[in-house]
Amino acid sequence: MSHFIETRNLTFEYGGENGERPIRALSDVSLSIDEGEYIAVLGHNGSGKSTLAKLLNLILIPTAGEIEIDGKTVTPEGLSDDEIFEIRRKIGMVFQNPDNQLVATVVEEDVAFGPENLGLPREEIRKRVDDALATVGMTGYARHAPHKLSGGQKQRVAIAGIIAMMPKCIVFDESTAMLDPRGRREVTDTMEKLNRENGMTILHITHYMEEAARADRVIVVSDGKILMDGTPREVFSRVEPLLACGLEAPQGTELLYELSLSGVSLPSDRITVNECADALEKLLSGKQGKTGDV
Amino acid sequence: MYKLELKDVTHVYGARTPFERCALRSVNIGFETGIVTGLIGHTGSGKSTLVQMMNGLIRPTKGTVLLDGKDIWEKPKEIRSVRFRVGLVMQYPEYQLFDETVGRDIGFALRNKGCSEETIKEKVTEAAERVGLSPSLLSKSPFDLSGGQRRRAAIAGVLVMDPEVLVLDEPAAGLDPRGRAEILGYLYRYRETNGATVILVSHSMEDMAQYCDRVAVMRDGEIYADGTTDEIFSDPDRLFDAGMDVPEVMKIALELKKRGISLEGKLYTVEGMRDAVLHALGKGGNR
Repeated sequence: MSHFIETRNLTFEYGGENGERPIRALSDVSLSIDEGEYIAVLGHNGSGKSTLAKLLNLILIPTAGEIEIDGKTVTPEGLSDDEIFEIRRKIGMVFQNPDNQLVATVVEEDVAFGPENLGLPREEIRKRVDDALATVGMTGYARHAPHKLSGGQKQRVAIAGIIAMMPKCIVFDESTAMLDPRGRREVTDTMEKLNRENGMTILHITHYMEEAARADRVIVVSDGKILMDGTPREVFSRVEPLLACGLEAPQGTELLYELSLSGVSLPSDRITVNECADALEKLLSGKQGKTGDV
Repeated sequence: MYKLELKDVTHVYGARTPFERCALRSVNIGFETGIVTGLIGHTGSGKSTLVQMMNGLIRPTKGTVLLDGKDIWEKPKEIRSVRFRVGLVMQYPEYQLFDETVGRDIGFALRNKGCSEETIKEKVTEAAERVGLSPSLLSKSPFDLSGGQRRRAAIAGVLVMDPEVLVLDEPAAGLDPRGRAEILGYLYRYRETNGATVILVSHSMEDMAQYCDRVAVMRDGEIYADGTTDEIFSDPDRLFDAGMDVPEVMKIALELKKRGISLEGKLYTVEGMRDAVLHALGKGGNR
């Protein structure tokens, strides 16, 4: 069976002009992604995770190896403009800075920008814009000016603009990095909803471990290679390799790990607040009141 | 006496236009020497406006800003001297690098101040060291550095002035966990060595919990809560009300409390929680 996205020995190098040695950002990555997956991508700064995202959207073309997206293979020879646009309609991208992504002076016009460029009939554009704003919970702001919205709201408008293009997959390249806690929650909730209710494939690149723990699958990129690939539970229970590549585990997992270093026996594969609380409750119940009597 | 004090400051953007907006309403806050204060609040709560008042980038519509008890706007023509004493690191400062080499960029403020080339060289090397930037990078173009290195260079460009007050707006935004810890660690050490007053704006509750002695929460242009880090995190509902959050590890403590298990200590950091659990197990707080 073929996958929605498949990379085979995907490699990307930049630089290398004027006889300089090129720098390898991504090295021999082979990876497959199915439709409807919700994946978090983690990696230190300069690990190659953003390069991977840009290859999926054909902002970059591989320098070696290939990438197959929905049956279309991209090689270092590249594709025609028409073919590139076809793939970009399938894979949308939301970037880090909300202020760099909004183009219009009214929210609904901004969301309509993509569909208008597809040359769709007026009624269809209207319907897509309304549906997209409803999906991200911004219907009430349709006539507002984007620059007066909060960061989380701006990102949701940017997401609506992508949804209106009806892509199969959205790549979020650190789209929560500049937001306050509420904004981050709004955006991650939206991602989860798009995946669970609309079956959209989600790739979320982030430095926040708690956000990554919400995905179904976590891919860790380090020095241009895939270091780990598994469920959040599998990946986050390996605290030491995570720390070694400049990352961390969610705080709860780290707490249990720290406690086990202190000689307390606890499971290492608990990642959510409730799971960690369960483990600690089991450990502590009955011990209350014993405090200080040693 | 406070090192830096904002007294009854109000700021209105676009006064007497249809876009008039009050960003700060009668805010009173003082900062003591050598203390790290965290400033949090949702987007639009007035943090950035407040921060830009601290070094005189914005003049309050009403109220006064006092540095060592002296009104910084007493002689508006001399406001520039305040900017050498109160260093402001803005958000994503790496976009402001412009000079030919990293070393020249870091030394820009000193050159403006009229320091000798010899002093500048010495200070630049020292500032680069403070943020863990190798001396070999000083002769490179800022555009040849990685994102993390550029961020450090930009921060060094402020530290080079030996500011008495250091104000940082999201200095670690967009960095990976190790990069975050490194940058914040360097700033913490600057406080230790220079006895500087530090004001740290961040959206990360984890950073607040880890690095701040005191936390002030802003909401709708006002100071909504202000206290020691212990006090602020002891009232999580107040934080949630302001659209903020608590560190993930503290959510575990709150969940345990709901289940009838109360722990004591600094439950808002991983180390604090670890010690609290060990204590409850009768194993003492240290390992």
